[in-house]
Amino acid sequence: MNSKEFLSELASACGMSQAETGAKVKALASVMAGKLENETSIVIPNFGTFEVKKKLERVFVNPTTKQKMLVPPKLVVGFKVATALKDKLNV
Amino acid sequence: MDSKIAMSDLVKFFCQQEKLTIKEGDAFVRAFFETLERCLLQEKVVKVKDLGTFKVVDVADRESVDVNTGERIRIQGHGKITFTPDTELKDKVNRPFAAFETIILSELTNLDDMTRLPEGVQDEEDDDEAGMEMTKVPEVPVVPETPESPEVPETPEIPEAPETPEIPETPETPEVPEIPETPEIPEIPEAPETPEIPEIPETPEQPSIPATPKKSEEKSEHVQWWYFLFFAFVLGMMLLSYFVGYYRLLCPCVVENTELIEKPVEKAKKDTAQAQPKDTLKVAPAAPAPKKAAAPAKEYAQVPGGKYTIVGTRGEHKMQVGDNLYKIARKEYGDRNMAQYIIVHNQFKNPDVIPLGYMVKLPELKANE
Repeated sequence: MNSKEFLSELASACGMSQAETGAKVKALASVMAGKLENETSIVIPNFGTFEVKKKLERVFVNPTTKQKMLVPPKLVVGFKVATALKDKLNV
Repeated sequence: MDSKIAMSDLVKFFCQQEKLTIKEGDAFVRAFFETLERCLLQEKVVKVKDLGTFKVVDVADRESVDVNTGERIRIQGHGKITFTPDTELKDKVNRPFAAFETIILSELTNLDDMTRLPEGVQDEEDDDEAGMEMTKVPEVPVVPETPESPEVPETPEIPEAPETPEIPETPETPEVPEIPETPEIPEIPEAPETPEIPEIPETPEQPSIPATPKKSEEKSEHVQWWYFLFFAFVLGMMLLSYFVGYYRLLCPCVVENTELIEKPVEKAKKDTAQAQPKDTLKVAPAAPAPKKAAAPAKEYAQVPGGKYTIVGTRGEHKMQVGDNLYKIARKEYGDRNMAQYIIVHNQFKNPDVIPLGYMVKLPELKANE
């Protein structure tokens, strides 16, 4: 399902126009991004947790060329599924 | 930093930004996540713009072993939800580290002290990878590098026998590091601090190379040792020259100079300066003329154990470019060794450095009986 289809689903669920929904989703995403940027985890009950994880630098070897590379440290967004949703998935 | 916010906080911030009432905002955010969940369960893949992609991945059944009992157990296949952040979100979160880039390491880089760190990270990352596919970089274990590390400390003998032809395991590789270093070998026997180097010509007799399986490793090891020896040699030469300079081993003036009486050197008078050196040139005999009695000789500093006594000042010589005391002594007294009398008479603290234009007093000498 792509973004457009999801938006139309959401619009019908909220009873709003698609453009309006799109704008709100964008705003929500930007709020979440802003929070995550400050390394704040976002806990959504019955859905999951968005959090920022720090990955250390590491040496990576290209399997074909055997070339060694130093991969820099980075911050990545992780998502942990809530147990409730997991259970729903594996009924 | 590690703080957490719940959905209600998220709603609050969302409402502040969108200028909605809490109720409206809450309804929307709830609807958003509920729809997301519903679509995810239905469609397996949901893409939300600006946020990322949620995916349901099926995990097949697999066999495992119970850690506690050692029994073989079967883990049921199950669905797993993964989230891949949008590029925009990813970049935004990674902004503090955005300046870093992946660096290609050269062959020679020594990774021994790093191996422990990435391995610790590896575990953590494996867990993460199992939960969600986020990083697009393919995971390759860092472990293959570790077997090389134990070799490093045990090969100190190698650089001493770089050209051993008898050894079957290393037919051609040892010559490679040898080539760039050969020009240094003629210098090495001079170095007093590196006594082990002169053994090099005898190397064919030395059978003491441990069997080293990796050629490249050995090669770099050779290079390192040669660099080390070369630097030790250079350092030794530097130290040697420092001490030679410090104790003035090559300068005969020193002995006399150290025994000087410590009177401050007086600046010569300028008015008497100009004409006199030329006059003295004509007068200067190899043997000094005994003008005065031995009595006044005590006023002047004397060269201990010298053949001559300084009885007065005969003249002055202005220092010019290229002058030195030996030259002056040879010109004035016909013998360069007379320089010590000039040094003593002028009470030079450092006879090597005499300023240009300085009026050097030439002593009147009288032969001792």
